[in-house]
Amino acid sequence: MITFTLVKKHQAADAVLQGAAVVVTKRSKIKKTLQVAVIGLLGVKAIASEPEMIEKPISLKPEKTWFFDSSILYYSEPDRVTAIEPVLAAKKKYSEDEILSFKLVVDSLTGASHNGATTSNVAQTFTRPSGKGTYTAEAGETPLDDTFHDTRVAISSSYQKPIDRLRRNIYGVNVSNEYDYLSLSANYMYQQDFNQKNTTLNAGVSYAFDTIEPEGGLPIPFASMVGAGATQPRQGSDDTKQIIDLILGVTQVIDRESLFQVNYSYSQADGYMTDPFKLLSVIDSATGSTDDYIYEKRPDQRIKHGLFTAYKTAVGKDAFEVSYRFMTDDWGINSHTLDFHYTWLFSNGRKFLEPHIRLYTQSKADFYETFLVTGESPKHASADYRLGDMNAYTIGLKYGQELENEKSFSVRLEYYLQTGDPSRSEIGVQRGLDLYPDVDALMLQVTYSF
Amino acid sequence: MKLELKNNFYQLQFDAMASPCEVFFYDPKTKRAEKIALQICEEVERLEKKYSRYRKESEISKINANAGKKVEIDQETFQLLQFADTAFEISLKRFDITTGVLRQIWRDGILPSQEVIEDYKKKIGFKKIEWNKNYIRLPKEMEIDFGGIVKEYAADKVCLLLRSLVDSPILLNFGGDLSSDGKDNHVWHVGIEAVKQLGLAKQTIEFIKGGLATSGNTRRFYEVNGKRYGHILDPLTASPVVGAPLSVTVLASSCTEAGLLASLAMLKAENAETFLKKEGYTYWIQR
Repeated sequence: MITFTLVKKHQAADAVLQGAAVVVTKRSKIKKTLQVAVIGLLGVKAIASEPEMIEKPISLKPEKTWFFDSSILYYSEPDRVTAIEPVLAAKKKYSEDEILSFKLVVDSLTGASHNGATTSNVAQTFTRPSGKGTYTAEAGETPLDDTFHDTRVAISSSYQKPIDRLRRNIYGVNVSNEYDYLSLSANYMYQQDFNQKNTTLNAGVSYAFDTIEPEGGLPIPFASMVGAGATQPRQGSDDTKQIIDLILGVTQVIDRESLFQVNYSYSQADGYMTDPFKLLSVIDSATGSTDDYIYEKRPDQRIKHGLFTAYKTAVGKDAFEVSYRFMTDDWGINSHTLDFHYTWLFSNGRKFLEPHIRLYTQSKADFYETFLVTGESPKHASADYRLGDMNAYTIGLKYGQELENEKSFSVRLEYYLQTGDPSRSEIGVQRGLDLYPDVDALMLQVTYSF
Repeated sequence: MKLELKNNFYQLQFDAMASPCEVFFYDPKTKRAEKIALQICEEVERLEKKYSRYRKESEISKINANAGKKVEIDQETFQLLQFADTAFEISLKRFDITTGVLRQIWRDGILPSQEVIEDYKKKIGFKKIEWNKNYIRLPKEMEIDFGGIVKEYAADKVCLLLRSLVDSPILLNFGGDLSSDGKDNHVWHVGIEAVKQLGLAKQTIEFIKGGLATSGNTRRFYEVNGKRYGHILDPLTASPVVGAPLSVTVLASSCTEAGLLASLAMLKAENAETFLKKEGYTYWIQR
């Protein structure tokens, strides 16, 4: 650019007169003026006459915006279910507040799970849900149905978009599919910050529509199990259920090191909630021997209320977290969960060790019976041990480490033990049998984030 | 406040001016180190108490609340006004400490009408305020805010204070704004968490002396009807600057100088790089 400007004689070095054209470079006036002004402001002298920094080849590589977590979980209940679950999660950060995320979960289950019938002093034979083929349980053995070899694939996506600096919307969808079950759901949450972002309020709603189409069709509730090959007591091939969830919560920062969280949740499920593969043993009231096996029946509505609170705090460089959840529903189940995590950082914060303890207790559903007695005709009944009076304990340890280039990995090992009580006393030949056996499981999960 | 002896230096950590602050120095006597740490915190608290617009009893709040009347000022405030005046001149009126009132009309979700903007143009303009070494008088409805200068000024001020108390190399790191006088040419390795505005991928910089300051918060913006406006306000248009970089970091002889250059570069919008190159400064710009 050619600029015509008045050039004082002593600045001639900066001006080159070439005939009619004058090329002038304006010497930096701001720096000098500014440096004098700064000396005037600071009162005495400059901080440094010339700044100095070692200029490494600093590349203006943009901040990482895609974040990935990949993990594999190996879950094993000795003699029962084994599951392998690979998960891939991806997150794209458009900004601190605008995030798009995806998650793919594949659950591959094998093994056998309790079919609801009680352990007996004699061998028992059961018809498979398809109506073709049978499986047996030895005397004194918990009846386990090994029919299911199932793979479940679930994909979910969520999008968080800020309305402004303090408010944001979060939208999500999920699809989960196994060979006999399909779940579709959508959710929305609203978040708002108050008190200079020390308080966050969130309110959310979600809706799910599930379809179940079990192999062999839906069993007639309370119908007796019949032998393989015979016409099976079935009514219809599929059914559905809808679930609406509402959540209202507050997260409050207490100080720079700790925060506290409370939320209330309401859940209402309407539709088919019976487990089509589960049975109840009908026991003779005098001898204790098995008279019949019938299919279970659960109510077609379930309303749950939940209260969750958590407290997280820094302990020096480490972190501690405790949470408590209370749940009650109209099936009569009340449960309490207490969870502790302590994260111990070492090696300059690049590695951590995190022990974990979880305690769980639940009171049984009103219609849960470990077995029925001949002559009883309840409105609903299920012998699914997951609805019984039980306590569960989990103890675990996780190790994690940061790697180069913002990558990290972690390994988690957990042991789970569940114990419970039958809903009624043993009768006759049942004495000495374990009607509500303990269930334990080992979990190993490896995660790699990049 | 936390004081720890790490790698032959005392590291003082505390929160001030909405940022995590770190100060590094060494003194052979622990008791004296503790006293020094306390003095540093007190000086920073003094500046925050005096110039924070979030505190009702601050001097700046008092000056603004008494617009229309004469308010007594001390030498420090007078010197800051002189500095703001120099900045106003060398920036050709773009750096103006009276633009704070524009925050009233520029808020998320609101696009002010041309009428409102014209109305507010009357309420800004550094030349309209009356000041001298004894008092200041703002016209009614006008306000001033040293927010764009104080953090960097504090870093330099504390650097000088600390130098009068210790002989060791020292470093001030106020939320990524650095100040050091280069004693012994000690190389300070400043971790990326401390200089996060640079948006670099996990690196440390090796800082020896002078000042480093960053203007712009990469994630702050006004959003109206889906369009994003930066958050630096231009006094000439009474509106957010269009085309400003997301952040500008400048290396200069002092933190105060670096901070002002970074602000001036932001105001130059698309020409930020050209401006800093022409003025002969080392800089990093993120768009």
